[in-house]
Amino acid sequence: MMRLTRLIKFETRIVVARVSEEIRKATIYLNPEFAKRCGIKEGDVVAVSRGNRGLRFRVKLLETAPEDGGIIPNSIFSNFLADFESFKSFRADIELSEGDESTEEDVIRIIMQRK
Amino acid sequence: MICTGCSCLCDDVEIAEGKILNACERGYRHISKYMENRAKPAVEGKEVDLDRAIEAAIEMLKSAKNPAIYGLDTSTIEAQKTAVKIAKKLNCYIDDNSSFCLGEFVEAILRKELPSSTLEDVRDKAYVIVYWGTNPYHSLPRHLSRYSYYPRGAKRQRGYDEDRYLVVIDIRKTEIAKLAKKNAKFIKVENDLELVDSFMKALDGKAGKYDVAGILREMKKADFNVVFGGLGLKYGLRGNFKAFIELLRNINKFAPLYFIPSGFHANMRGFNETLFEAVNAVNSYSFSSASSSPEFAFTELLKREKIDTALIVGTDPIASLPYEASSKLPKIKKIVVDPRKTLTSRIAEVVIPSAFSGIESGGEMVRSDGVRIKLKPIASSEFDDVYVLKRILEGL
Ligand code: SF4
Repeated sequence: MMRLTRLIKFETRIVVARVSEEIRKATIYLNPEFAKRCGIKEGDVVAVSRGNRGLRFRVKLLETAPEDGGIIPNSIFSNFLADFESFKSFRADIELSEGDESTEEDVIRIIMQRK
Repeated sequence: MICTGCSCLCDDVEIAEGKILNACERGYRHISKYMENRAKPAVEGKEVDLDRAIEAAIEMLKSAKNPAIYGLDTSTIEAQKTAVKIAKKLNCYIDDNSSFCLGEFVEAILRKELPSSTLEDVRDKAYVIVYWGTNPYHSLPRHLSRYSYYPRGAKRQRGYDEDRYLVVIDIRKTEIAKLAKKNAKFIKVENDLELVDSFMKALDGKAGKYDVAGILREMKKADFNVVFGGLGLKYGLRGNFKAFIELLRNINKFAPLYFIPSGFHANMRGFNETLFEAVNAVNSYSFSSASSSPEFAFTELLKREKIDTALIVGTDPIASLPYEASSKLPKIKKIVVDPRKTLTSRIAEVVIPSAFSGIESGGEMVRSDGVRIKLKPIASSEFDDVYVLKRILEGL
C-alpha cells in the first residue's frame, strides 16, 4: 500500500558535518522525531532537492541531528547540494522516493555532463 | 609514531606486535588502511610509469596559460615549500582548503590580532573551554581527552566537573553539547553575530538575546580561558571577522581568553605558515599579481573560469567543493598528486601517486595550535610529495 507521505514534500534544515562512518553512498541522518512527523523510517530512500539539484539518500536516524531536519556527512553528496553561502547548513525539500540512493558515480556523471 | 589523521597530530600512537595502540577510530582507520585504494601513475586514463606521468605533468604545466596549485594540507612543510617554489617559477596562483576553511583565523593569529596559545597550556591551565561551531567528537576525536576538557593539568588537578567549565555553541545538540551538564553551558545558536552582540552587551552589563553573563563571570575566575573555533563559527560570522576579533579583544580586557582554530586537515596550518613566511599571506596568492585576494582562492578561480590547469596535491576537489566550483573542474586540465585514488583522479588528465605523510614519509607538520611536529614514519616509499614536486620543479 502506498504511504500517504510519499506524496508530500517537507522543508528541512540540512547540517553538513563529519560522521565517524566512511560514506560511499548517499546517506542522510534524520532526527528521529522529525522523521516520524514526516512519516519517514530508517532504511527509506528520500529525494533531497535544492533548486534544480537533487539526489536520493538512504535514511538513518540520529539523536544529534537537528530537530527540524538532518545531517548529511561532508562528502560529494553534501557538497553537490551546498553552495558557498550555505556551506555548513542549508534548507532543502525532502520527500520519500523510489529506487536506490545516489552513488558517487551518479554525481560525477552529472558534473561531467555539464562540460 | 605521529598520527596524521587530523590536526591533533597525536604523538603517542604506537605500533606494537602489529597492533595500533592509542589511536582513535579515525586514526586507526587512517593508519591501518594506508595500503588500500592506492593511486597508480596514469596519463589520459592509461596507466604509465611514474617518470612518464611526471613528464606529462611538466609538459602540461609548461604549456598552461593560467595554472594554479591547490591542496597540500596533508603534505609536509618540505613539500609545501617546494610547491611554493613551483608557483613562483610558474608565476601562478597557489591556494589550499583554508581559503574556505579556517584560514582567516590562522591569519589573525599570525598577525597577532587574536591571542593564541598551545594545547599543552590549555591542558595545564584552561578553566573555561568554549567550543564554538566545532564538533571535535568526529573531526578531532582525541581533542577533549588529550588536550582540553578531560585531562588533569598542572594547574587543573581536580577533574573536569570541578576544574573546567565547558561551553558548547552550536546550531544543534552535538555529541559534545550533551557533555554540557554540570559546570557547563550549551548555547543553541541561531545567529552567531547576535551571540557576539550578546557577549558585547554583557560586558557592558546589559542583556542581549543570549544569556552569556554567567560565562563571563566564570572566565573572570581564571587566568586562562580558551575558545576553539570551527567552521560553524566561520560561516556563522558571515564574513564579519572583525566583530569576533573585537569581541576577543574586549573580553581580554576583563579576563584572559585565547583562541585556537579547531577542525582541519593535518597540516593546513603548516600551509598557512609556509606561505606566510614566503609571501606574507596565508592562502589565495597570485605570484603574477604579487598579492593575495579572495578572488585568487582556487574556488573563485574555478567559478570565474580564470584557470586552465591545476596541480592538485592531496585533496579531492570534485568531492569537497560546492557544485558552483566542482562543476567547473571538467573544463580545466588536472594533475593529481595523491597517495590514494580519489574521485578527482578519476577525471584527471595526469595522476601521480605519492606516499602518506607520517606513515611512509617523514618531514614536519604544524599542529592546529602552531606547534611544529617531526613525523616518525613507520614504513618507507621510493617517492613522496617532496620527490614528485622537486622533479616537477626541476623539469620546469
Ligand atoms: S585524534 Fe587525530 S591525530 Fe589523534 S589519533 Fe585520532 S585521528 Fe590521529
